[in-house]
Amino acid sequence: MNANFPFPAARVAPNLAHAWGGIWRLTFRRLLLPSHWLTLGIGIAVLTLMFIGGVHGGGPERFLEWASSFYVAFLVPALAFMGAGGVMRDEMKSGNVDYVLTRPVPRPAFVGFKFLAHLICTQIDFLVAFGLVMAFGITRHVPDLPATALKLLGGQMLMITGFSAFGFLCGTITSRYVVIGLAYAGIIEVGIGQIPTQISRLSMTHQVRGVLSPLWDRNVELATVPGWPMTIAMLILFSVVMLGAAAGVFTRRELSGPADS
Amino acid sequence: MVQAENLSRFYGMILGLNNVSFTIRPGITGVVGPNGAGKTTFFRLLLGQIQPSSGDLTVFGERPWNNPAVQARLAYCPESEVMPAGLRPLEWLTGLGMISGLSARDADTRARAALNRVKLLPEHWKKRVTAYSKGMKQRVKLAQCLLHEPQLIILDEPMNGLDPMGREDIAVILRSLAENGVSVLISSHILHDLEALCADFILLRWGRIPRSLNEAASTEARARWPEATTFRCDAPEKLARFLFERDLLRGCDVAPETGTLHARWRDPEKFFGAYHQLLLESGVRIFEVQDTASFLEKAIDPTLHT
Repeated sequence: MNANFPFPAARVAPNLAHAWGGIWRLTFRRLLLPSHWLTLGIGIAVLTLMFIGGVHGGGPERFLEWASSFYVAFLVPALAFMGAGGVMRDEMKSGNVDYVLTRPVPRPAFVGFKFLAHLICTQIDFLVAFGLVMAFGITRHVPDLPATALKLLGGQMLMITGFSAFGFLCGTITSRYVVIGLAYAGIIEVGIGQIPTQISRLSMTHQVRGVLSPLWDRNVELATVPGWPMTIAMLILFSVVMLGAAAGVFTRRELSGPADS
Repeated sequence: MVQAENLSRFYGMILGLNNVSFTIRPGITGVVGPNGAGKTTFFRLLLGQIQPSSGDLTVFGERPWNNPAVQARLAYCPESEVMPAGLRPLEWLTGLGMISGLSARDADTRARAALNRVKLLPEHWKKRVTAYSKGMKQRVKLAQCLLHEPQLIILDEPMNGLDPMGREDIAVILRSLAENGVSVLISSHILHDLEALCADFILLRWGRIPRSLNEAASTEARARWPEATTFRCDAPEKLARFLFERDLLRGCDVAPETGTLHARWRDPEKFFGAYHQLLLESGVRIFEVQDTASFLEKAIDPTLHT
């Protein structure tokens, strides 16, 4: 700020720690909405139907393949992506722009805080779904369920983090973020992820599916399976890059159009 | 406080603001113009949510685009009634106060004080803001502007949906803020309220600030005699003849069924200088005399200049 600034300073100085608290409060409250619980209830009912359809009559290995490949590596990232993209679109609507983004929070900090608050809420939501998946596991007599659950939970948390960050980026770029998500899924996750070389590591779901594959695939060569540290590092790197790009785009973005004028 | 030089903002081929220059001083300034005149573009430029296409804009001596140092000193009350779902006013205001930099305790204290100041009764604090009536929403929207003691408050149609008492409540708050050195920028379609409230005006039309309109709403113009006057009397034709004979009228409309004469003055000062005497001489019983249009109405409606 200019030392010769002729206007009095702000009566309340901006404070990033307090700003984080405010963004967290406004985000967390959404978890308490009846409509949120209704959506969660419907989601759990659908998940139950998916379990019945996917694992019907199968043993523990069938369940673990379903839990790793379908639930953790497909359903969780897809829902995390859609939820995060929707959150960013909501943040750019007048109800939030006019009240939140007219306040003194640097835009990159806002994206970071919003991501963190949304991530915590999403992880809490998916814990409920994960509990249900583990209950399914009990019915399939999965051996050493606590250790298995820990690995599946780790995979779930990584997927939520990575694909929420990706959803933030796509939601910041366009209202048709689902189209970008589908293109990404088709090219990277389904296309490149299936190529049996090192390049398949660009696929985040492939990373997680690989690290979970020993749970259900007895024929997998353990030497070819990526380790947890590498998988965690890749997912965190992916998340940071996506979030950084989202912050960059959001900072340069104007928050209204001619329709408002 | 705010200074703009040759400021323009276009959205591709669509005009937002076109080469406007203005200065906003402390006090209450009204922003007037028909829909699509560029008011919201004007506000969004001040808020730093959009960038100028050309020209220069400074708020508190700094460019407002994406500038937290400026945002810390201003507050915005939007016209839109979209509010976050599921939040009660105290929760919402506390969160917003914290985003402005207040601690949780301070934000809660100030949120309560702000809700009391806008006269939103505590029994309504338990309802969610989305369930509020239009008038209650306006009060909460104003309350969220007061949390961090801003030095510039921008209000877009804050009187919409308020009854006369509500409008008076808001006016009292705005006057008190202005007395304490806060600049208030307010747009409203309720022109009489603006006239009563504002010391200065910015009149917008098609993205421009036409000099003629702003001169028509200037302090000097407001001190001048009205250009037209409506009389309700027992013999409007007789009064019209009387005034025409004395070469006072430029034109008039007579409505015998309602007993009104709408007089457009050739030289208003000549009539108002001898107002009482002339009306006594006319021999007509006068029931009501009123300025036909408010100066803001006249300023933004060119047909009223004729």
